[in-house]
Amino acid sequence: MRAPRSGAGGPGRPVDVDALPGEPVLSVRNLTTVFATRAGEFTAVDDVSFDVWPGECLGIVGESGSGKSVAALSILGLVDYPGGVAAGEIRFRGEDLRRLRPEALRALRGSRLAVVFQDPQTALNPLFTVGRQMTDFVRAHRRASTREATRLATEKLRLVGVSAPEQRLRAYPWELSGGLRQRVAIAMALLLDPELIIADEPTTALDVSIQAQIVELLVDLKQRLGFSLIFISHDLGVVSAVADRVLVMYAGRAVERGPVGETFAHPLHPYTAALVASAPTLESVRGRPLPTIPGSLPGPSDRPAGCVFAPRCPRAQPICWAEQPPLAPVLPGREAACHFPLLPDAPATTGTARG
Amino acid sequence: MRRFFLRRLAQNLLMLAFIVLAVFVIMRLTAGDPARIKAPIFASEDVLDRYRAEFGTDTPLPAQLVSFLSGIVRGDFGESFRYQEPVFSLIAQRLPQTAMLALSALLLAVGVALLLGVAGARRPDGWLDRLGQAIAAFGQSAPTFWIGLMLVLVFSLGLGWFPAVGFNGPQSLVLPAIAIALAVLPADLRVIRTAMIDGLAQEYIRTARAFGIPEWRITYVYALRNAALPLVTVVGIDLGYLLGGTIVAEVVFNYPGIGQLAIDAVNARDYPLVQAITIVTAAIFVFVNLGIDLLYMVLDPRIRIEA
Repeated sequence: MRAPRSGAGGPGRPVDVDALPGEPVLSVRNLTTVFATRAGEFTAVDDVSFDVWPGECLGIVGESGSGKSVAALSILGLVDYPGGVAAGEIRFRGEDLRRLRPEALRALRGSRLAVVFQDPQTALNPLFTVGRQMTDFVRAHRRASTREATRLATEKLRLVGVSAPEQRLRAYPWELSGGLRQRVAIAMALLLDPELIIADEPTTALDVSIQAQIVELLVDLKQRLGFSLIFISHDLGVVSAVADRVLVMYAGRAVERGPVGETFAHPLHPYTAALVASAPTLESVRGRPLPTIPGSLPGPSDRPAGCVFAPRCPRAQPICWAEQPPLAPVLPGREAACHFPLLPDAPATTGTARG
Repeated sequence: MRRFFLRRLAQNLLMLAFIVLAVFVIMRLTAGDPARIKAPIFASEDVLDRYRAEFGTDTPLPAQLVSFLSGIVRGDFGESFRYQEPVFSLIAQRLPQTAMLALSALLLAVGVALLLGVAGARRPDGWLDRLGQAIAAFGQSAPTFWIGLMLVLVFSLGLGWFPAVGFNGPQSLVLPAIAIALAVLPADLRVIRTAMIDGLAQEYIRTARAFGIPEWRITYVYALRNAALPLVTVVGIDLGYLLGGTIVAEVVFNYPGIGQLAIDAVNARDYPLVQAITIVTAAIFVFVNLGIDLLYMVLDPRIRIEA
């Protein structure tokens, strides 16, 4: 179902994490984000680690409630009360964002670290024109006259393919169509040429035809501008079209990590396999029900002591209930948190998806 | 937008006309003869008739109404029975005093409500929030006249900081303004607090944070803008209340405003003065609300489209 990729990741790009040259843009270690609820503490993100390398797109997938959005908000330091990052390290270009003073973190957000939210209808302020919002964002970081800021906003709108940008700047967000709004939101993220953009389900609120346009736009922009991208989605098709590598989350934990093509073609973790199997494709047979994953995401109080997926896993053994498997290398460049990973019969035939 | 405005203007003028009629009728239905009140106690019927002739209350009601209405059209509201002065100049003397008092009270109430409401919304159940809730509960449960008396007891008779009665400079505004402000503060505070909590929870606030907008700007520009509509609404209601609410405070503090004048006028069955005061206050109320409707459209661009 994946369109052939014309090198969004670049041909011949090494897929093994350890083999990549240079330093990661973002390095998250043992991130744990906890919400205080009436019923006690709820761990939304549980000991998750990942890296994002320069020019790379990391996809984070998982069903609703898996903690992927909270992980993104944790990086930005935007987890709302009563939640908060309880442990871990979030290194952006070597600096631990958790140790940064609030003012320094604020200065970083929107300039070097930008975000595109899910629903541009609610994420954009209905009381201000597009131009006012964009110039406000510029001027939160730079001394710039209204004219300079407007010029920059016009330039970025043009970059994301918005026609008649001067006119759009005078419009209110609710006067624009959904696709146009999301382009505006992407232009906002690009305003100050960020090194990393976090896109939190940027296509989920859009029509399918618009989704494809936005995905194409992001891939194209990433290639031309060279920023790194964290792309969060529950839509495997969209993720496989954008991401170089993918992190699969389940119930707050990272269960699998690897190059996107191989991971979806030959999942190691039973959860990833179930997720891939339950994704509708054009080949899905009408009238025949899609496979679903039996059971549901464990609630805060009934997380098992062992593997979080054990209650729904067809391969679960007694050890899965007792002992939590760590995310560990299974194949070169590929990691899974599973006592009994699904090893492919012929690993040599995989790994060609990257063209 | 212009059609909307003209329609509202026409509606409001019609309403004013009804108020004018109603006050004319009600005054004449009220027991008490202005001539009897004005004349010495044991005045003969002859003397009373002379007064009636002077006041014009000896003619039949329709004739009185015609002369009243034709006066309004000419901008002449007549002469006060009691003060024997044109009512217009009486009102012109007192209205600025009341306007000053009402505006001081409004500024005080809205100012305090903004400070405490924003603080309470930013940190619900924090000490500023609790302080606000306590003041709101007090202001809502204690009547203005009692608060006025207590303020006089403590701050003028006890501490001697402010004059107890009358008007001799800005210091005379302080106690009555506090007494009135406490009456309107609770509603203001609750509306602002709720609107700010709602405003701060909007997703576009999170966007603003994610784009590095400073926190003070997020609170006082972005979220407060969202709270502007309810705030303007409640200020409109306040103004309506203040037009009547100042009367109580003016009486307690013997403050020379239009409220005092109105009470005297009613007691004297001073028809022209009561009618004029009613028309003036009603006109103020109506036009303030018209102004608020217009302000809505300025504040929320979405209303402009619908109008």
